[in-house]
Amino acid sequence: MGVLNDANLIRRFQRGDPEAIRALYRSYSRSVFTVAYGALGDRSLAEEAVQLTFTKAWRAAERFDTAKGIAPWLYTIARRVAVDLYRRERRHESSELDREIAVMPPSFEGMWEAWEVRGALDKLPDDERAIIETTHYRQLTMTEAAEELGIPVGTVKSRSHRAHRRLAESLSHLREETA
Amino acid sequence: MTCDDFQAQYLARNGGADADAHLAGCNWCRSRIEELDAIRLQLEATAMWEAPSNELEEAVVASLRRTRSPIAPTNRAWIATAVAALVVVFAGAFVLVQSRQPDWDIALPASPGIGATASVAGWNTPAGTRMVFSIDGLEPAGENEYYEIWLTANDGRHVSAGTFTGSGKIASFAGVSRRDFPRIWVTLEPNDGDEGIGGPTVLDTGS
Repeated sequence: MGVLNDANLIRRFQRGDPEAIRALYRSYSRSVFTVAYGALGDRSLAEEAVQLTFTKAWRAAERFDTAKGIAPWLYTIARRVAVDLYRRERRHESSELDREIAVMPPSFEGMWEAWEVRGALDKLPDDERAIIETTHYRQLTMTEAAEELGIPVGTVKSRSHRAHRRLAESLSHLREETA
Repeated sequence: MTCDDFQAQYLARNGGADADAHLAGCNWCRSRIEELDAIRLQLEATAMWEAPSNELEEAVVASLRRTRSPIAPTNRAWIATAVAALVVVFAGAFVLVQSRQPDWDIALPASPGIGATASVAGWNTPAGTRMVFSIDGLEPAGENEYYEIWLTANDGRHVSAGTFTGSGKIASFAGVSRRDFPRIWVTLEPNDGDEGIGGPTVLDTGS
């Protein structure tokens, strides 16, 4: 989504346009969920984070800088929400000493990468995303993926190459951002 | 082998002599290895493949619609003008669409010194309260002012149900039930950048 579209969407979101609320949610809720789930390791907490992120975004929408994109803005809110939820949960289960020395766990590293990868995955065509899921997440071989998806191995290979090329290209900016 | 092909193969864990040879001679691809490894790790994570429940979308959208629009007051005045024009134009259509009789129709008394008569008809819906205001004799709001409709609960919470700039038929919607937010009132707000209720009350059902 380009900056201009972002600006239009956020203006309609600011006005409380129900379609804009839904459009923003559908564009970014999965990315918010992914970073929160990855960091907190709990599905219900991740859903709470999604709800809180969009509520905070709603309240802060008038301060949104339309010259910048929605994604970095929402990511910043989502990360802060995840940190707050992590600290809230820790208060329930840790000692005073633990709290004093508490640092954010490794699961909070790479959150921006997770956000960006999820965004790139969501932009892939369904058939290419299915290949990525079966071969990376489910760790199936090309042959197993072909059986699972009911398509020839050659098709799996060509789709896999297309999908990985697309991913590598759309995520090429990560090197500069994380360097 | 191009850089794009190498990176796609590396991401897919498809190595080989061609890939090794490309990597040995390509600074650009070597500089991306760490990042490609990080992407591969992300692709194996459960969080990458899970999604929030469908019910959550409805809950979030409904929740946001129930709360006051966050739009900045500095922008509100000109929007109020546009909205007022639109709601007056479309009020007739709104009433026609809303074919059934209103669930309630009450007077909206004017504050002392305000020479206006007003009433509001309402329809209770699962998503909130639809209202049509009939207002006569209310002075047009000044250049840096606008009228704002409020619904207030017995515990003092309030929600904005929109803005307008003068008399007429005004269609409005609030994402709350009138049972929970019984007081309906209108203030004349200065366009001073303050989001809160800052102006005098001009119409009020009372609590």
